[in-house]
Amino acid sequence: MRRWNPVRRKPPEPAAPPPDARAPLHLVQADTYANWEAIYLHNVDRIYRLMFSKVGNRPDAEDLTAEVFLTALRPLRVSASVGEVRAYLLATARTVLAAHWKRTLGREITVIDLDQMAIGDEPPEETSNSQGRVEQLLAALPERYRRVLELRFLNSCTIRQTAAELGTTIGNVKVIQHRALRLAAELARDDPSLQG
Amino acid sequence: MRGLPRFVETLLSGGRPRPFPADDADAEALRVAIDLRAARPGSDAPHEEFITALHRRLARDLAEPTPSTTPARRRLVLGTAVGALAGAVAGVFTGRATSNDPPTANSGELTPDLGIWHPVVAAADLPEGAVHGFTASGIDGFVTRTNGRLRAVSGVCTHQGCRLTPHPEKGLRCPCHGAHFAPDGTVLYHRLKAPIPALPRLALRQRNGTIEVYIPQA
Repeated sequence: MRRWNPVRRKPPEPAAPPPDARAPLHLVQADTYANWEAIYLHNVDRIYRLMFSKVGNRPDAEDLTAEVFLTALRPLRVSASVGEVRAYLLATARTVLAAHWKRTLGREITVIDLDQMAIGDEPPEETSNSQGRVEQLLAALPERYRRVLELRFLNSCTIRQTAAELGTTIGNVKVIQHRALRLAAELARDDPSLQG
Repeated sequence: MRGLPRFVETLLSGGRPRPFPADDADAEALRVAIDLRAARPGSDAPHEEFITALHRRLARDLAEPTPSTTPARRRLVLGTAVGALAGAVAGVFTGRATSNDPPTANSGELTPDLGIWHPVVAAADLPEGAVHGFTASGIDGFVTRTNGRLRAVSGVCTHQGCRLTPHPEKGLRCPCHGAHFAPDGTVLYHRLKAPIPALPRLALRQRNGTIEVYIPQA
């Protein structure tokens, strides 16, 4: 399990995306891909991150990413342009995610909004958007609620560690965490700009 | 802990959350929880092993020709969709029926090429009404004799795969959700929301006083 590193508490400003060792190697001539492997290597990172932002856990994100590529690659023409490939993968991802929620919880918890996705090749804007949204949402909560959510969700603290940090009981942390999520959900419902 | 709190705790610990009946308020809270969890610094990068493994899997998948649609193949695939065991058995038999093997009738004895006849019990040890359980090559089943007729059925509940136990009055009983099956595999009783299929039958024969069951090979 990843341990909390205090230095990382505030994520670096979005300025420079981390250099990706894989993608540039396979980049593309004249806006098309050389073969399916190039398509895969150039897009897998983005699709995975997108899925992770929609399901919030690694096992599901990995399964759904695999499903997207297993579904999409065979019918895909290699001659398609980079933009077309990306749009096709995103459309597939949207379908796969919708089916996932339908299968598990019976209702769509999160959706991939194709209109919101920039078609450009910039590194996932979605991530920085959601960072801002989360910060906004947390700021709108009462101090104690905000602290519990920060410690548990962003800083990977256990319930016990959170209780120690806040000088309260484990039971109390559970209660606050539950109420904080409910309250945050209400805030997000009333303010559409906070919604995912 | 159940429902939403359990789902959230699994998200926090990085596991695969289990479904639960979610209402509107739960859905909204989940949305927030997923957003928050996804915002944890550094947690949204894919594992290198995952990327490599999927790469290999895709290479294998794309190297295969598109599934052929010859009748034999199609029937085999349909057969396997019926259910693990039923599928295995049905697949084997349709596969055999439609394959163009040279006829083996002349050699006097039929020998299965995709499975084995597994001896289960001496015919004399299986009186009328008896139920005899067996396990062979990972297949659980029961051999029964009712009204003089021998039958073999799978011993695994068609609901969630629990092992059935014989019960003097209730036939084959599932310990998990209480379904009962008759010795011929039909469903006698269940209290599940959706109906469950009958137990798949297994092929069997009596040879030299021994009852043998046909076990398809994986």
